[in-house]
Parts: sequence; structure tokens; C-alpha cells
Amino acid sequence: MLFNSYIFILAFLPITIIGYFGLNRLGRTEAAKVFLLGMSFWFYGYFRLSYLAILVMSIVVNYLLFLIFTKKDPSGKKRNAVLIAGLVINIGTLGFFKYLDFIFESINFVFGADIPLTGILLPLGISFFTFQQIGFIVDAYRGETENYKFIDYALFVSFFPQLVAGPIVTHAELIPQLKDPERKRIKADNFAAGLTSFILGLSKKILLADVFAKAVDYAWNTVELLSPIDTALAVLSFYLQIYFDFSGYSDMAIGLGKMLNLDLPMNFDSPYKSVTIREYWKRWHMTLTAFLTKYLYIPLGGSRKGKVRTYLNVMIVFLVSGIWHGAGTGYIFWGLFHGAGMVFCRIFEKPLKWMESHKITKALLWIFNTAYVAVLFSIFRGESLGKGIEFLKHLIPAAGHSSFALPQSFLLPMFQTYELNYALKLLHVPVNEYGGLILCIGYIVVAMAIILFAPNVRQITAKVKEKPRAVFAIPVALALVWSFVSLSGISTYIYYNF
Amino acid sequence: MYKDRNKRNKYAGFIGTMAGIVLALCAAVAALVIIVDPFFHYHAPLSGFPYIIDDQLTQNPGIAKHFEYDSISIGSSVSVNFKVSWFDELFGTKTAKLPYNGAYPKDISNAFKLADKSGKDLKAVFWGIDIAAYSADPEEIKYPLPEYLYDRNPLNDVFYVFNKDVIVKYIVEPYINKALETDKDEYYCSAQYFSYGRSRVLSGVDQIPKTALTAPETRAQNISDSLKRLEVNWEKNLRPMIESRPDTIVYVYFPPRSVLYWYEFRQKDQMDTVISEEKKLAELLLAYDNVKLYYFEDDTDTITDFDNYNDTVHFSFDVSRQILEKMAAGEDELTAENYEETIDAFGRFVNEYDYDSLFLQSE
Repeated sequence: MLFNSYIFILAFLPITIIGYFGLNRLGRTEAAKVFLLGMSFWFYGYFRLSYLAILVMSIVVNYLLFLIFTKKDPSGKKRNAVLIAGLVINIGTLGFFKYLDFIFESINFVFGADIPLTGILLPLGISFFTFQQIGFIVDAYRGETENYKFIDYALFVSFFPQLVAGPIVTHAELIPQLKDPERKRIKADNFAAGLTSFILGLSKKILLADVFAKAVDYAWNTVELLSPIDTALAVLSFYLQIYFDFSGYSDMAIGLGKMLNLDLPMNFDSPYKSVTIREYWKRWHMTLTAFLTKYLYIPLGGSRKGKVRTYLNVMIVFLVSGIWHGAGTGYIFWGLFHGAGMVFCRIFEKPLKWMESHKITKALLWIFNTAYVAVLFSIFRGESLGKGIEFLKHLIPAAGHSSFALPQSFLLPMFQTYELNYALKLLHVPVNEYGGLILCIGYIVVAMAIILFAPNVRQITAKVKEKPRAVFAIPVALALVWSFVSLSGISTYIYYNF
Repeated sequence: MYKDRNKRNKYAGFIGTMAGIVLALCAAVAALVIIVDPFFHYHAPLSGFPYIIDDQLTQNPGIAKHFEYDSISIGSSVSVNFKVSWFDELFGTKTAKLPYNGAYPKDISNAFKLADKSGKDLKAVFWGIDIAAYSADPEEIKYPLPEYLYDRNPLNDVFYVFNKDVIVKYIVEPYINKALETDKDEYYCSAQYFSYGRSRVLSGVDQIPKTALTAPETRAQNISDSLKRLEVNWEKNLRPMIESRPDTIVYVYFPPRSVLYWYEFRQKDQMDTVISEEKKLAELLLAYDNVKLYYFEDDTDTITDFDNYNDTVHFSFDVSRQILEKMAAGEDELTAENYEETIDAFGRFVNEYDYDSLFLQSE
């Protein structure tokens, strides 16, 4: 199920809230947890029942491993063996569903083999709940887990707000909250803040991310026709799409948790304000950074084994991050170049600090960092390095062609949303071919202004929690209604062809 | 426990204000869509409201359910440029247009079923044939349908009732700017939006070399395969339409595509397959007393005059009018006696036509 759907907003969410708090109010706290687990399973199984089967099996197997650690409490080699088994099972499952066809394709390409691809479907969110459980198994191995009941563990993994796309929550963060009696009564401050976060996240997804997505999809489907300006627009559009989409999803997840009195960790903190890659990774997908730091970087030695080893550890972490993001050379390349950026920031730490402390050089740093992140995201979007490079080549004008050609006539309609169309009419901007270009750039400028100058969703919801003024409810309500009616549209196919 | 009862009331005020605004606005939006109903899902068009009728996928089911008609026009984008009043003038019927651009046989069947289940009497069906689409998979449709407008499930009407495009494009905009209203005599028509002529038509055609003639066995196999696929579509999608309404006259026509449409078939030595399919379909159709079959593909004056076309396939209002006039007058009718000879003759015309001179003239 998607958060941005009628069935979720009109049916799933009200039923979940009423059922969960209702059962708790009746004193049926265990039943409330089972109810929440059932709803989470419905949420996940709505995509495809086979996905649910995989999730349940994964939960059961990992809980059994946990029981071995806690009940049998093996030591020495046996303990290591159980850990290795856990890692192999989890990584193997992830590898099977996510990477098997990529491995076959790579073997076929390198060795000229002809292994048939399986076409196996990737269960949604498997990267997230696998990582979550790997962290859990490692903590169980280290003796850092409590005596969790199955219901608490199952709910920790499958809690619907964070199941499909994070934030990556640890057991220590979530399970104590699930057991806390104080959190079982509906609380108006949390509900108000959570609702606000959910609505603003929904708006980011529907009103911003999905608009950019149409232009990006169109550009990537017509790569051979792209002019330099088309390509630049598409690069910026994807850079914006992925932020509003992913951070919007996290806002919704955090908001849903908050409505249920469960605090999920922050995942985005205005990452596009970053001026260096190092700062970027402190603000972007923060829970992934925390996970990789705790379970990979530090066990590798972190920064405790000299500079060269530190740089190597950073590169390993970002190689793993790239692979985790997707099965394709584009993801690996993206990860490695972010790793290289991180290493660069370490090597040139002092000069970068100096540049950050002066306005003009800070602005230059921001421009470079933004361009670096945006261009790498286009490789990410391409999935394969070849496709990414082929796409980015179109930033360079072809021989004999002007470097400035107006965007394709079919690219512009992707940005012709009612909202910006009417805004331009009010400002008396003509809607001719240049007006169309103004629309594209206008949308990007508005989006960047929101990112750089507006308070982020976390800051807004903190304000709501601190000072719940009814007048603030008006724009939030309007955002919800506008996003709600934007969930459905009329597809206008370019279909005058037969 | 809240120490500040005042603050708890403020949160309640915040949530209450939000809920109140959301519920009020949603109720207003829903009421607006249900009352105006631009897709005619609930009721016939309100008199006086400037409706826009331009989206076949969303508006065909409503037109079939709630418009007044006793005949229907079905087919692809080639069949959209008939004015509704022409049917009345030439055939004495009130006609609803239910085309689907790019229609496969399943789309044709779906269009017929929309009218069939409306419970209305159907005096006539006007059906344009796009033979190249008739060997498609029998379950294939050209574009996904918005099922919420095709079924009776009221719950999924949320996709219609809370739909920004419906609200803005089909209610607010035409209400503010009455010039956007679709003339109900010309809904779905597109001929007025394009320019016509040789250079326009030629711009959509690439000159390609002639391929070697297909070996006889391969040719026979190709023809056999395509006829099998056509027959499957006939059984599943087309025959039931004709047999379910034996009292309905079905006017079937092969529309006049420009001669350049056939160029690629000729160059790739595929005309035999097309001609075989046309003859097979004609044979199947002519077995029924309630079918009247017309062949306009061989109207050589029309198909070689590119002023009639805005691409290789789509023709003007004038040509559309001619089609109806000829059908009303019984001209160019195919019969069991003449269909093979007529269609074969057209195949020879296309195979022998001097296409190269068209490309030379354009240089």
C-alpha cells in the first residue's frame, strides 16, 4: 500500500488509529500490538502477498537466531558461527532477490556466457528490513539486546510507517517505545505534530516530487533527442525529485509514527543546504549513515588506524552503500564517487573549513557541491554507468548545434501544472515557447527556494508541537486537500496516432 | 498528564480546525463533481453547463449511459470526425460517438458493450475498420481504462470525485471561460486542429528501400498466421457484437487512408497479408443480413489528394462527410459477389503505385 493513496488515507489510517488506541484504552495492550502488526502486514501484503510471505519468513528466522543467542547463549566459535549464519541468511536473501540477475548479467557480459535471467521480482523494502535485522542480529551477538517477545520484535521489523523505505530504526529505539504504557493513550500534541508532518510530507511527494518525476521520466525515455538545456533541466529535476520524494516519504513515516506516539529517528535535515559531501551525509538519509557507521565503519576500524586505512574504510562503506542502493554499475559508481568526495573532505579538511567560514567561498562550495551531488544522481538514475554517461553526454552541445536550444516541446508540458500556470498568468508572464521555459525554470527555482530558505518539515512540526495555533492549521489543511485531490488525475496519452 | 489544560485545548483546536476545513472542503469538492458530473458518471449533462468533451477513455462510459441516442459510431481516431448531426440528417438516427484512438478489436468490443448494457434500443452501429489492428491479441486494449468509471463500485469513485484534473480542467476552467465548451455536435473531433497537404503528409514518411520478395512458403505462413489471429478476434470480440443485436443494422466501412499509408506495406512485401485479412473479414461480415459493408480504401481520387489528409491516415471533415453520404446512398458497398475482386484490385493498385514520384516531387 502507498501512503499517497485513497485507500491508505480514507480507510487504513483511520482504522489503524481507532483500532490501536481503542484496544489500548480497553486495556488490551497486547491485542493492540497484534492489531498493529496485522495492519502492518495488510499494508505490506497489499503490494503482493508473496512479499508478505518473504517478510514473515525473514522475521521468524531472525527471531530464531536471536533466541539462540539469548536462550542458548553460545560462546566462542559457536557464537561466531551463529552470527555468520545470520549474516549469510540475511545477505543471501537480499542478494538472491536483488542482485542475482545483475550478477548473471555481469557474468554474461564479461565472459560472454548466456545464463538466462530469472526475472525475479524484488520485494519492496527488502533492503531496509534486511539491514534492520542485520543490525539486530549483530546486537544480539554482542549481547546488546533485551529479552524481546516475538510480538515486539515482529512489530519492530514490520511497523508499517518505516517498513518500505525507512527511516532505518534500531530495536533500542523502537521496542522500548512499544512497551511504554505512557505512549498507549492518544496524545493531542503528538497527534497534531504527526498529522502536520504526514500532510507536509504528502505535499512534498505529490505537489513537487511527482511533477519533477514526469519530466525526468520523459527525458530518460527520449535521451537521444535531448539538447544541453533539456539535459540540465532533467539533471536538476531528478536532484529535486529524489529529495522531495524520499524526504517526503520520511516525513510521512515519522508523522505516522508520531500520531501513534512512536518516535522514529530523523532521516533528513535540509541536506541540500550542505556545502561539502561530508556535511551532506550528515543530513541525507541519516539513519543509513548511522547504520553503516555502527555496523561497518567502526568494525573496520573507523578512523583509529591511521589516515590511509581511514580513507580505505570510507571507500568500503560507500561501496557497500552504492551496492545496497541498487543492482547496477551506476549505483556502485555513485557510491564510490561519494566515497571519494568524503575522502577529499578529510584530506582538505582545513582549507574547506576556511572556505566555509567566508560567505563568497562558502557560496562557491555550495554550488560545486550541489553540482557534484546532482550529476552523480543522474548516474544513479541511469542504474548502469553506461546509461548515466550516455545521458550526461547530452549536456555537451553536439557539433554544429547551438548550446542553447529551447527545451523539447514535449518536455515543457510536464511542468505545466495548474498551480504554476495560474501563478504565471497572475504575473502576466506570456505562455509562449519562452514562457514554457520560464515555467520549467520557475518550478526549479521555487523548489530550490523552499529547500534553502523555508523551514524544513521537522522544524515546522516542532513549532506546531510547541505552539499549536489554530491559524497554522489552515495552510496545513489546504495542503492536505490540495494533495488529496492531486492523488488522481486524468492521464493524457499522446495518442493521436491511429 | 498535561499540566497545561489550556495547551491541550489548543491542540484540540488545531486538530479540530484542520479536520473541519478538510471535511468541509472535501464535501464541497465532492458535491461539485457529483452535481456537475463532467464525465456523466451519475447523470446526463446539466443544461447550461459548458462541458468539455474530449477524453474518450473517461467520457465514453458516461456518454453511453446517459446520452440520448439510438445508434453508435465506433472505431479508432479515424472515426472521430463525424459530426453528430450528420447521422441524423443522413440516417435519421441520434448517434453517440464512442471511439477509442488506436482501437484494437477488444476496444471495439468494449465500446459496443458500453452501449449494449445501457439498455437502449440500437437502430444502427457505424463501425470503422483498422485492419492492421485486427490481428492483435484478443485481450489487448490500446490504453488502460480508468476502471472506476467503467464499474459499479461506488467506493472507487473517490478517483473521480477527488480528482484535480476533473475539478480544474472540466469544471472550473470551462465555467470561467465558456469558450472552452465543446460543441456537442463536434465532440471528440480533431480534424480542425491540424494542417493538411502533401508536405505535411510526406513529413511523416521515411523513404525505405524495397525488400526482397518473400519466399512463397513464408508468405503463405505469414498469411495463415495473421488470418488465425484475425479469426480469434472475430470469435471473441467482433462476432458477438453482430449476433447480439440481429435487428441492429451494422454499417461497417474500410476508411480511405492516403495512398502513402500503404507504402511501407508495399515496400516490405506485406500487402498480400493485408489484402488476405481484408477479404477474410469481409467474408465473415457479409454472412450476416444485418451487416452493410462499404469499401472506401480504393477511392483513388480521395486517397491520392493529400489536401484531404493531415498525415498518412487521418482525413478531413469533408472526407468524413463523404463516407456517411456514400453509405447513406449505398455507394461502394461490398457484396458476397464483388468483395474479392474489389479488394484484390485495390491490392494491385497499391503494389503498382508510383510512390517514388511522390518523394521526387517533394524535393
